[in-house]
Amino acid sequence: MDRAGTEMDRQLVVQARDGNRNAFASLVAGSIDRCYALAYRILRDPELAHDAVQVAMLGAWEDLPDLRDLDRFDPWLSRLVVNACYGEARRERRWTAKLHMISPDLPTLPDSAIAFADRDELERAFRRLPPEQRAVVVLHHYRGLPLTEVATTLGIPAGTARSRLHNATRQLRAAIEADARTASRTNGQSA
Amino acid sequence: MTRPYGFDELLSAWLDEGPEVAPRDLFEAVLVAIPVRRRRRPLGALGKRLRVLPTPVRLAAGIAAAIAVGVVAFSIAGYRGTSLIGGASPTPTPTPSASPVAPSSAPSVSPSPTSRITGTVQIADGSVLKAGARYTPTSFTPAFTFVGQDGWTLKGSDSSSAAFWVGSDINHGLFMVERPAQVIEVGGAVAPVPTNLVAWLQARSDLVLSKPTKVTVGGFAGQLLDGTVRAGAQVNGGNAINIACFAGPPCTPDSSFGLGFAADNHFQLVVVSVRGQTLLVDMTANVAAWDAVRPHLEAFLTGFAFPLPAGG
Repeated sequence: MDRAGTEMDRQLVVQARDGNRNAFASLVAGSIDRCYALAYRILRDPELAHDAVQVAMLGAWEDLPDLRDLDRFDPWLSRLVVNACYGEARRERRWTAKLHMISPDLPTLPDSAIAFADRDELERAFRRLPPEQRAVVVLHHYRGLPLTEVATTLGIPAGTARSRLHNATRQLRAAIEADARTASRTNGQSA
Repeated sequence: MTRPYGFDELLSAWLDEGPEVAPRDLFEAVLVAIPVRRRRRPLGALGKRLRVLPTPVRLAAGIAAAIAVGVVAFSIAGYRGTSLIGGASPTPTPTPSASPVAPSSAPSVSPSPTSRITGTVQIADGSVLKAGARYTPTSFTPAFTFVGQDGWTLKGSDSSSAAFWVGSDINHGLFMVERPAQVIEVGGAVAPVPTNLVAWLQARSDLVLSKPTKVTVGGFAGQLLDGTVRAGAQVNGGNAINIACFAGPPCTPDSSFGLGFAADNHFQLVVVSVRGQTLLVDMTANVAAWDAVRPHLEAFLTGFAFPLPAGG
């Protein structure tokens, strides 16, 4: 973002903090896609992500007067989204496995990039992770944040972020490798 | 198996596959809610309080809020390039209500000149329905039209499924049409769609079903089964039973691309053959909401038609 854009956003934050709903709505408009993308990847569920972002945005409106560093609006909002995801993930989820739609904007990666089996294994293994680990994985591997920034965003020690990422990666990798071994054994039997 | 990516790259590529754009109704829902939210209240407590507000109170708050934020919505509509407030009319949309009879100030969706069915409104995912309008989902095959009801939203559709429901919780009322690609047996085995789908459903040990009754859907004869999930039935990680998958990723009992029921659902399934294609219509709500939602679900079914698309 250029400097003028940053200054404009800062002014919007100031105005929103002072109770200007138009300014806050503009901030929402500028950030809601990023927030939804983050929430979806943590929760792997469009409806839960929808609810999490709604909770986070309304929380942002309520808590904005408490934001001290106005230049940290984005990381602050990301933390609210992550915290809302924690809440949604722990809600009763009796319906979540029932129906989800294929997102219409899935990129068309070549099959060789991510095999169906890998995708399925990753999905299942990722869903088994606690939300705190998922958040670290997403902020690091999707948002591209270094671990120190992940820790700052989440408000946790860097060592905690590192261990969460390590544990999550270990479980995800194990799931993929187990799948590969199974496939290899199957191929060997059928050969 | 050859992997062209290292694990980190694989993980990043997989994470990149999700949506990058928020649903349109999310932005509208946030806008609508802002004016009724006081500041400096504990988020958790207030959030919980709003969740447990009686429906009429939420509804009234939503309507009042919708009016109040109209100016706000107008003023920022240009921020996201396309109109956030919807189709032809820049009227703000209230937060979807859990009530199936929610009055709606939803945006009207203009009839598309490219609609597959002449005289109907072709709708995309996220479109809020209006009572009395006749709609056509964009790509479902065979093409069908139906009559809208206020407060319902087409949440997702593709060539083999279309689902709309009311409110933010699927269990408040779901109407789904699916052209099943595979079925999931009790125990999790995936199988081709059986020739006699009604008999297959009746044979399931995890469902409690009525005897089939004859119905007509859009002029085609079908059979309706009324049912619930049997107490103690084996459910998946989401406390649900998936019974069928439409086209998409691998079909599993935990598949996210299918049709199923939560343990506390009441449902009606209609199996109907339309020009040689078997369709499964699912009308579902949780048991507590069923009696209130059922007339609306049946109204959807009654309003169905399967006209041949233009040129088809």
